Amino acid sequence: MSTTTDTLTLPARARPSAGVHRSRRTAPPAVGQIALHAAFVLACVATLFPLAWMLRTAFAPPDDVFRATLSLWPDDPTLGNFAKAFRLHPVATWFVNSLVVAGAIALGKLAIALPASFAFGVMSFRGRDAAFGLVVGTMTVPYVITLLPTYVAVVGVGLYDTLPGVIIPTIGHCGFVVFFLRQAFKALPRELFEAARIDGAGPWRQLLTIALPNVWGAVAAMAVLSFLGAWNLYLWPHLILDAAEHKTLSIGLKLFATTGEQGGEWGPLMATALLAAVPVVALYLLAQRQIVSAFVTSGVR
Amino acid sequence: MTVAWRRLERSPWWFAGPAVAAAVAFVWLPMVATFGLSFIDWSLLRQEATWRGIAHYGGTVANPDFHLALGNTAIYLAALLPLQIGVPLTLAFALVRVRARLPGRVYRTALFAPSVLSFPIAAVVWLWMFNPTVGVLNTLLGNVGLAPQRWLSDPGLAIWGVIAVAFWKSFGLNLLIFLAALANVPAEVTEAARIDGASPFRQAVDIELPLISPALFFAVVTTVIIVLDEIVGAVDVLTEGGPFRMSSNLLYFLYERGFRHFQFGEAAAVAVLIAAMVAAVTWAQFRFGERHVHYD
Amino acid sequence: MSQALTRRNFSLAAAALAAPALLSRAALGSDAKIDLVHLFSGAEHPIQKVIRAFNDKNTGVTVVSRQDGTTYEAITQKAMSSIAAGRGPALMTTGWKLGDFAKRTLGAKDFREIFGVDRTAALLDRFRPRIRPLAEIGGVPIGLPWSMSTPVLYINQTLWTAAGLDPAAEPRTVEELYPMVRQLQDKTGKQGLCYEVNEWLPQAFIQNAGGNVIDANGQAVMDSPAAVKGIEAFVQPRRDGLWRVMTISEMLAAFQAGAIGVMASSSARQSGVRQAAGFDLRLAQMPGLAGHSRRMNSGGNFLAVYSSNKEQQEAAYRFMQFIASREGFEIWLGTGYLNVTTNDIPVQPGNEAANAQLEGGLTSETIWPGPRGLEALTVHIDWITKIVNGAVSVPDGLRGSRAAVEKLTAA
Repeated sequence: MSTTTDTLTLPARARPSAGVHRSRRTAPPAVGQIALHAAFVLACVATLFPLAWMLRTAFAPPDDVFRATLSLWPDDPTLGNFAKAFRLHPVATWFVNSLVVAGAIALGKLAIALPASFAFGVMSFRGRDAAFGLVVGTMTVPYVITLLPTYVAVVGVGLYDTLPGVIIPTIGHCGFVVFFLRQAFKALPRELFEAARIDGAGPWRQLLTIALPNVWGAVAAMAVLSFLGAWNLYLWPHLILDAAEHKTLSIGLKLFATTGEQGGEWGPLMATALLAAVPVVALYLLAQRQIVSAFVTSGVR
Repeated sequence: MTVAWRRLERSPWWFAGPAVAAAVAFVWLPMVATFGLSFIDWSLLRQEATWRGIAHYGGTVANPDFHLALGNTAIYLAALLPLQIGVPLTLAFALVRVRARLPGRVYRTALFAPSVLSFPIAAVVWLWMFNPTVGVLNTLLGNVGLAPQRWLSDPGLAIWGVIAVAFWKSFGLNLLIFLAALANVPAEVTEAARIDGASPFRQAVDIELPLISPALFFAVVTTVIIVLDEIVGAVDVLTEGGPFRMSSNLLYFLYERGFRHFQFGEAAAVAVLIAAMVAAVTWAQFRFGERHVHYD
Repeated sequence: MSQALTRRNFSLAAAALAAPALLSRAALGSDAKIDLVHLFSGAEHPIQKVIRAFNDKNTGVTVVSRQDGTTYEAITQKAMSSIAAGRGPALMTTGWKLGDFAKRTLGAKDFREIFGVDRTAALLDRFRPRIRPLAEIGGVPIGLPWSMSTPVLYINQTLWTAAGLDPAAEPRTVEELYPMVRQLQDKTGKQGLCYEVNEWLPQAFIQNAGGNVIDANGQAVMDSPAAVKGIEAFVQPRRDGLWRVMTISEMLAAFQAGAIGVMASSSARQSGVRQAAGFDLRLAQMPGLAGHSRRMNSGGNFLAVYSSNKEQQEAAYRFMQFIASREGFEIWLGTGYLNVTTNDIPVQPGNEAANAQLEGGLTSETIWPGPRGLEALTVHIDWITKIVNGAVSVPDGLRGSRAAVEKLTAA
């Protein structure tokens, strides 16, 4: 289990660039290399084509949008679709809402999970394992079975059509974060805490000043995953949020797409999709290493 | 008093309490409540309950729309599992054998790009491409002399449209997982195989594949989660389950019963049935996993 | 469509509003805010203009626009949850077809109860006598019938004339229309025809054949021989290769791109389609069936009041008065809906065909009865979609719909 534990508890060591230049494997000779490159170029073109098409449509004026053409860039590119998109729907508000929701959920999950995983991983007290089981056991519960009563409760409490109504129940599903962080805490050497305890540091101090700095990689991974997961949430916001101004990007896009009943606005819709994709793609390109490491370390066991 | 306060301050329940409370309030209690809900009719507006016994279970099991949703879910699984494992795996094996470093990284970045998007964004992009008269896919077909397809309006094709979008959006993640797993295969093992004269193909299948089985297992698990849960975002944007439910899945069926038509009791029964099926599938996954997944 | 307030209009409007405003000002506290839930997108949609014009009058009432969805089904579903959550709309654009559901399940208010008989009469008298009963459910007035549309033919005149067809042709029956569409398709290579696939356009065909979807007693009768005949005529072009079936949003995109010669759709879309189309557009009345008199249906929505709060109800009344006035309604006509008021407003350019259909008499839209009427509606649409896609024969499909709808309305 050595290799896998290593990657699990010390995620900073995961090397996302690894696996690409393994010259020690039997690499096919030059002809094979050319074939490989050709195949990959083809695969990349096919994969990126939909995104390129979205890009093209976003900048195409209305009469060009509906032309049966294969040109990857409009003859007469325009920014008009973006302006139109904002006039058709509160797109900027959607962005802000998504940001608020995703940020609050990521922070909320960490705020609850950090102390809990510290307690489960480092402290010892009566009922610890039972409590841990209770929290982590939630990972085995399928999402569907919590949906309806949570909805009824949120409506009953008056949080329908509000962002907290979306945020709070989602924070409650933090079992995985607790599980993951507990692993990280458990891997820290006991001596660290012994020294602190001798110095008279209470558990909070131990958590904040000693434990936390040492598991930063794991925390970052969980923060990124929680944020991205919350950014992409669809069903729950769809059920809870009502007015157009309260929607997040994911469900705002759905509203925009069904505006088709009142006349197809494909240029502005693609412009909005582009705007929605840009922050995530930019974040990915900038923080590639960290994000990939986050995905990978949570997946490779 | 200060000593008692000190003790309280250090109490581990300040640490663990919120998580436990959250687990109970947002997972365990709702789970029990769903069970209870499945035996009644609950009117959201009038806040009244009527006892129905197991009528909802019987009704759901006999409901042809439920059968359709079940069948569709099976189709989604049967199509996406091989796609989500076979394609990224092949790509990963091929990518590690590309000698040039920079192009390799470019390929990896490009292939992973769709995975960064959310399902609704991916769906919107493809919704436009799927348009039967002015969409680019039919333009492409026309250029090679094939007949245009109705794609999402065609009862037989709609589900495959959703599958295509789901695959496009998710295969990159598995590619990355497999690459990382392959990176952890010790060099000595592949070296030894090479010295023994094993062909690249044999190396891949006999040596590397078993060694990355945890990653494969992970891919299976995430694909199942996608089919049962996340794909709903794509279904809602692309087809809303249509035409006439032909691309719906179990979760979408529950959404329709519970949140389009507000039959909460019936939807709760559906939820219990889905959860039971998921439990069975998960159990099967872990049984299979135990036997076939190698940890070193 | 000019928004300029002429002096005359302004003083008329001011006079019309001044009296009740002055009288009942005492009844309102400071600024009363009411939610108007609707399904229209866009910051420049006439509904936003109407709301702005009303709010600018500073009557002490502020109307807040709340777009909850883009279809009647969606906003009605959302209304259920929001009412249960205590955040229900004060006013909502309620689809005619969901009138029974609105009254029975959502609790749309009886105007006479919340406004009094006299004020209700004063409000509704601004509307044509034949229209008024359409906003009554079981004789109870629950809505202001401000949005009325009807199915019409949208003709791509450029393609039409290119195919050698008479530019002023107005087919009276579908039997006349289909050969024309065939000619268009053969000569231009573009798809000849496209119909909306929902419950609405088929209702026109069923009625034009002498049948009904739901009869006067609330019974589902969409599988009668007359109805079958109507739907056979509806489906005929698909069988003949003139109509490749697609969703409404796909149809609109295709028509606006000039890829379809003729489409049948709601007259309410006409200003949007006209703007987006790069070709000559002509609207014509919806053809009927040979040998039967035409019974075209109407569609759209009425404004219903859902709040139990006295102040909000008062505020709603103010707003509805504005809409019913000439000033308000003229702004509203920018949508493409028909003038159902007694105000003397000239017919919007392009809407002549729909208006002629209105003058000829329109039936109400099918009202789906019972507390599960919303579900019955969606089930019926499913069956129509199956029929149109050829998955089931017309008689079997209509029978299936009837059985399913009966089960739901009986529940």
